[in-house]
Amino acid sequence: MPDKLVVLENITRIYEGPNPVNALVNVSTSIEQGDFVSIQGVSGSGKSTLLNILGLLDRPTEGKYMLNGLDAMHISEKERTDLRCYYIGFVFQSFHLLATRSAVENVELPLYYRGIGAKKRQELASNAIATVSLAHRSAAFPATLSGGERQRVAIARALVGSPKLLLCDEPTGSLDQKSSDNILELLEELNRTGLTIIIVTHDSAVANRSKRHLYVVEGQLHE
Amino acid sequence: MNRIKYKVSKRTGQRKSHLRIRDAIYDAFLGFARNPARTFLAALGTIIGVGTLVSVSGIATTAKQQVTSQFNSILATEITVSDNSIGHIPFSSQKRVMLLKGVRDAGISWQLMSDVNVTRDLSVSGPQQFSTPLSIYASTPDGLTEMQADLITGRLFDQGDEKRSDRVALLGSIAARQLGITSVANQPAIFIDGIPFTIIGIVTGLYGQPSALSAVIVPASTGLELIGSPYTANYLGHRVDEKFTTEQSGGIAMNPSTQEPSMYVTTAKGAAGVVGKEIAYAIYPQNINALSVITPPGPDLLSNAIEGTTATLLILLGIIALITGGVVIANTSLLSVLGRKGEIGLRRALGARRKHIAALTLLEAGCIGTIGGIIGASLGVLATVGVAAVHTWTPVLSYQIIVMAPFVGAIVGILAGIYPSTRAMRIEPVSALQQ
Repeated sequence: MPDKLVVLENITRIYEGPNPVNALVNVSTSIEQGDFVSIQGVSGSGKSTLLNILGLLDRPTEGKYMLNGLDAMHISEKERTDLRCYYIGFVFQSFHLLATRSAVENVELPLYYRGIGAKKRQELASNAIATVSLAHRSAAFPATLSGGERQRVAIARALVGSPKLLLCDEPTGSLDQKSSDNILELLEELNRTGLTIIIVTHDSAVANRSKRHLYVVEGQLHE
Repeated sequence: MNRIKYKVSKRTGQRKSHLRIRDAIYDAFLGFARNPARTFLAALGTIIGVGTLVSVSGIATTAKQQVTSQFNSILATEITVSDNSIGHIPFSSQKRVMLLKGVRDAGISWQLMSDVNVTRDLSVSGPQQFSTPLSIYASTPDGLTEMQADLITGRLFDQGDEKRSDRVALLGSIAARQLGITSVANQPAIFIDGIPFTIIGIVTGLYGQPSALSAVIVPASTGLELIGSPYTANYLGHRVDEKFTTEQSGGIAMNPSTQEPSMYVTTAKGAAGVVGKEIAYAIYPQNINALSVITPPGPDLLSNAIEGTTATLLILLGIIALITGGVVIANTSLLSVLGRKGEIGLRRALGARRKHIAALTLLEAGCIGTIGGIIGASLGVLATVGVAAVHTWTPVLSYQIIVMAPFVGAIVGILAGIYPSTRAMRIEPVSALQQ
């Protein structure tokens, strides 16, 4: 297993248009297995663009991106999807839970795309729900869950496929203080088990819970 | 513990994103089963389309069956036999035809002459006379029945008149008006080219021979005696189209008609087909092709024609309704795709390939179409049974159409889902997740 899970070299992302925008300029860094990294920056600084590139949801205009030793720049769309499927878990500010699926059914969702059968899927999803201490709410639908519970379900969904990298985009942005603390404690606990976590936030209090702090200022990355 | 078998990319050696068909179907099932209102609205078009098709088919088949039974009992009883110019109808054939099983009645009639000067003698002793050119028909007593003569006044001639070749006549209602005869109480007389006839009745109706309404009808034997047979060559040694002299025609000099006699036969219900095949042998066994036998169209022929004309129009309506249903599904699916961009973006982020998104959208549309097909078929069956019940008919339905209906719905759904699915698979996760 390589020590460096993520290696970025001179990553540049330019949004083309009448007035091209340099969202990221020559970003270089590396993230090791088991890191807990926060990426801070003001709105429009480019931190979400960086997260999208790390999550293989967006392609940089230039640069080199190695994920778990694989060249993530020169691969096809399908191969990028495969890497997302097996290597990366996502946690979003707005949870992105399917309203018509129960908590456990939401957690099962990534497993559909791994060709895992229903029985095994339910078993893995139940385990993931239990990991985030929501076993008693596994049959509940998102509308009946609190914000904190919804985010826990979202984290369980991200964890169910045992990813190498957990990308969290403002995971506490929609939560009250208590729920935020609970979520951050959960993330710290997951990190202690060896999971690499990158968290994007504009909240210093949240960023302070991470081990390593990165800052994006006008498209440039600072440590 | 079951080991999970992953698909691996040959190029990168990495595990591949993979969606099993049964999981895709289950995922799609959850998608529409958990949104019953959206599913129903999307399926509504297909419900209407398939329902129309099934009910149209059912009602047409039921009506066809009904026509067949009605036709057998009412219409298929009348046969017309006529000379086809190479043969003839012997006047003795009426008795032979009556011996056929299933024959109720048979009669012969023909136009004897046309444009004959018919004179009404207003005063036998005086000089007052009134003349008008009329046609003369000859008919056996049964022939009057076959001509559907309705008596206005007087009586019809009978077998006695026929046997004696009485010089009696019936007037069609128009001819009677032309001659100014309204009553036969005083036995008015007319002269057909100078030969006296007693008017015994005035008839109307004559749906079997409408032109006789403006004619004089005499007994067949009387016509034969005075004019001779229309088959002159056989009977009198003269051709029909030659002008008869007074001597040749038994005293009447006039233009004989060229119209050939026709025999009208009434059969028992449903016997027309069989009698129609036997009748030529009974009349003219030495050459059955000498006669033209016209039987009523078979019930299947008529009912098929009815089914063909009515069902074609209604099936067209059904197809239009189905197309509308497809458009509704396409529209609903497209709106659904646009409304679920976030979900599609999420699925793509979680590892769904573009084809998985397309498959999900297509399966949902297909399932909605199938549901529409099942509900539509059920409603179509109910409509058919309802219509049949109202008319006290026996509902007849083709099971093939009912079995096919869900498949038709599925095909409509899948076709309708093609465009929305292509839109769905093009959705980029980054932009979708930002919504």
